[in-house]
Amino acid sequence: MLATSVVSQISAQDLFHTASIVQSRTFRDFEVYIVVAAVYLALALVFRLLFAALYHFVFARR
Amino acid sequence: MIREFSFNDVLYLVAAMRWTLALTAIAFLGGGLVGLTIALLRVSAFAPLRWIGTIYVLAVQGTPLLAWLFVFFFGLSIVGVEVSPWIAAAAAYSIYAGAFLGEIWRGCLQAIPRTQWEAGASLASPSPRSCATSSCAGDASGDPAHRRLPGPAHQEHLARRRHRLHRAHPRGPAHHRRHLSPLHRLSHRGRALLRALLPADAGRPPARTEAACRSLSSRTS
Repeated sequence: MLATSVVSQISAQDLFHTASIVQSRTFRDFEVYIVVAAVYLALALVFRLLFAALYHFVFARR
Repeated sequence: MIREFSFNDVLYLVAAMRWTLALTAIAFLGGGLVGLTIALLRVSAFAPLRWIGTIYVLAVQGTPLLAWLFVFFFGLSIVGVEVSPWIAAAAAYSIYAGAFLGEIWRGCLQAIPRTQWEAGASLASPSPRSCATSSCAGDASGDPAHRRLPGPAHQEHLARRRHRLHRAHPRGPAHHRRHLSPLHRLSHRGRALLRALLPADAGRPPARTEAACRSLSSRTS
């Protein structure tokens, strides 16, 4: 998931590409990338939670 | 024209999350297909297939993801094939995620102990021969008749052979001990050497001769 940020290099629209657009419009690099980092972190945590729940349901010891 | 960074920009960024999620899904689905193929290739009983899998993993894990993206996006357009960024991204991510998922799943397959493969075979569970792992290759021939449960007479024969083999090599014959480290084999030789140097009855309980029995009984009474 985190590696998907690389697609912004070939101008495919994704979160990081959008971030560069906003950054080029506002020139507020720091704020933009802080928000993007927070979004990626939130996504990673959500995925962690999801997979932990999946593990709990599928492989739980009875 | 520079505008202010407002809360709308934050919402815009958060909404752009859906593209990242879509890419993740594409990478996982495509990478899962490629990875399953690679995992099966890498545990194949047929050596050239294993080599193909190994070379693929070596090549893909040894190159950066950005290089694959550039190959599919700019490289194909140089050749004359115009690809949309999303198609290029899907292809590159499938290839890249496939190499990593394939290696992970190969490890999972090979972590299954040989005895569990044998347990599955003895329960006559349908196992495709294509997933005959290197660890279970050679213990069941391709002929499905040999995978049936052995009859009572055959079982007896197998038990007798097992007993004979066990008596000859209590820790299994040498070609079954190949997986042990050279150090372990060395320690085995060292033990044999020690046994040759020590007196023959070292470590054994004293022989039950009449004299020894008499001395024991006289001590107790």
